Amino acid sequence: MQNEQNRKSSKPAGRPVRKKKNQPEQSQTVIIPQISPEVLERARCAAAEGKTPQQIDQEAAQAAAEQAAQTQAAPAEAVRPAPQPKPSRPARKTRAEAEAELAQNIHDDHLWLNNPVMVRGLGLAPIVAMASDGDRALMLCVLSILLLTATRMLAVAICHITGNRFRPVVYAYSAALIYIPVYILMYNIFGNNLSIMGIYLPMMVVEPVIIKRMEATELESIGEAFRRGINNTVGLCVAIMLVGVLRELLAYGTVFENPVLSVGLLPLAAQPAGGFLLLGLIAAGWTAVGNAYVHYKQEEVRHLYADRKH
Amino acid sequence: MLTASTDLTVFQGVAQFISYAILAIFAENVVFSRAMGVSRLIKLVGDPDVRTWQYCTPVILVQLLSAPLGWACMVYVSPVVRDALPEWLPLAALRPILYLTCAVIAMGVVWLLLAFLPAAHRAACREQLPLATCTCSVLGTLLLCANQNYDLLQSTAFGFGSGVGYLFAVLVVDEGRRRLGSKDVPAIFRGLPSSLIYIGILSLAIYGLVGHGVAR
Repeated sequence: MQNEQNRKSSKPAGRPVRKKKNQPEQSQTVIIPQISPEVLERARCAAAEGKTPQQIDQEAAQAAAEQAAQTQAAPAEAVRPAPQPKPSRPARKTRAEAEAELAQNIHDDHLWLNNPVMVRGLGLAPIVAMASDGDRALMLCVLSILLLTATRMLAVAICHITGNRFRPVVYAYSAALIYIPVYILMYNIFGNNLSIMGIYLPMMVVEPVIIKRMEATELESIGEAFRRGINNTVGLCVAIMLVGVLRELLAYGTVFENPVLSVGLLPLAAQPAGGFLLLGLIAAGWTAVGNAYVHYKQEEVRHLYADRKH
Repeated sequence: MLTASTDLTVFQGVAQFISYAILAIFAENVVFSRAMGVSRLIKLVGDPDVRTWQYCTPVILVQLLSAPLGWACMVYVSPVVRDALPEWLPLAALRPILYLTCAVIAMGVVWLLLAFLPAAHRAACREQLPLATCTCSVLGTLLLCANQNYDLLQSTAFGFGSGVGYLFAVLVVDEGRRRLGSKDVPAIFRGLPSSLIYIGILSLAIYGLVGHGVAR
């Protein structure tokens, strides 16, 4: 029955078909491959179950109809165009939005434009008093890496529990707690050389660059604390190493105790007073370059969004 | 009845107190000699919302009251803790938490003492009290007194002098910052750079009193 229908439907409507002489009489067998082996298998199983020929024909017709529906659906899916990325159109931001985005980017750039030491004036005590050569600067860097982000995350976690109360005490004690394993680790790394840091090593637990966040009233998430802690650590370490190496070079003419100059050009650089002066000069140069870059970016935004007042 | 030797002892004690306080105010100023608390100082002098006395009154009181506690911690608590600690845990790892606890206890006492101030001043000082406690000048002074093995009188005098010295530094830097706001100062030096250079020059002047080395 199915073959009969297929044979009828396969003939073109108004076009006679010549039958070849050698063509076999039961040509409907060539149409059978249109039914998939799965359909045939299903019909065979139905016959084996002792169903009547009518039932077998009915099930076979249903299976063929399902297959036909699937084959019709498949080309439709194939024809349907794949989802393509939307063409990149220029963002329709207003000038105010673009300027706000630029300001946010500047604020988030803790390495250069909003460096915690050179721009915000944090962490000055250990840098001025202790980072007088490369070795001490390296110790301070390691301490900052181990202490800053962990303190910030622990303090934020505790503040979530305490409802953001007693922030200064929570931050200071978090740093003091983190300091215990950090000190043990640093002692294993640096040994007795750690004693040259004097009071400035334990004093780092209340250094504003470590616990500055205690002054902010809004409570950040732990993930955000991690991200900002890493950013601050990178900016702090860059500043510490820059100042430490430069002071050693100027004071002793060496870099990590390797002779570079025959004589120290500015012995005062090893003292806190020299540290203040040198840090002030570096901060001035840092600020000048940073301000020039910010000015350039602001002019760029102004030109790009000149036609958009709002 | 007081004897001559008792009078001399009292006089020596007062003289020692004054000498150590003056030493801490000028010769070993926490800001100019050791750069302790300088980050907070620069923020404080640039903050129009916080007046100098609002921040420095709690600093002086906390330093004065925490110094004897720090001495007691060094003399009585530290040996006990050292004996109780396991071998792998050095006492130096616990120094911040011990001396921070001294400062926090002093903060609690100062919070109560501030009740004697008029209501308007009391609220302002109490607002700054936690920030004044968790600062490098307070913890640094406690650690320094312990490192120097100061006795009770010397520790108290040095703590009081450090607090007054911090006030002195704030007043000097505040005045200098006001003058450094002039248009004659190049734009790149305004703000933090000029403040640092100004403090550096003042610090250089301190060297005329104590020489180039400072105790750590």
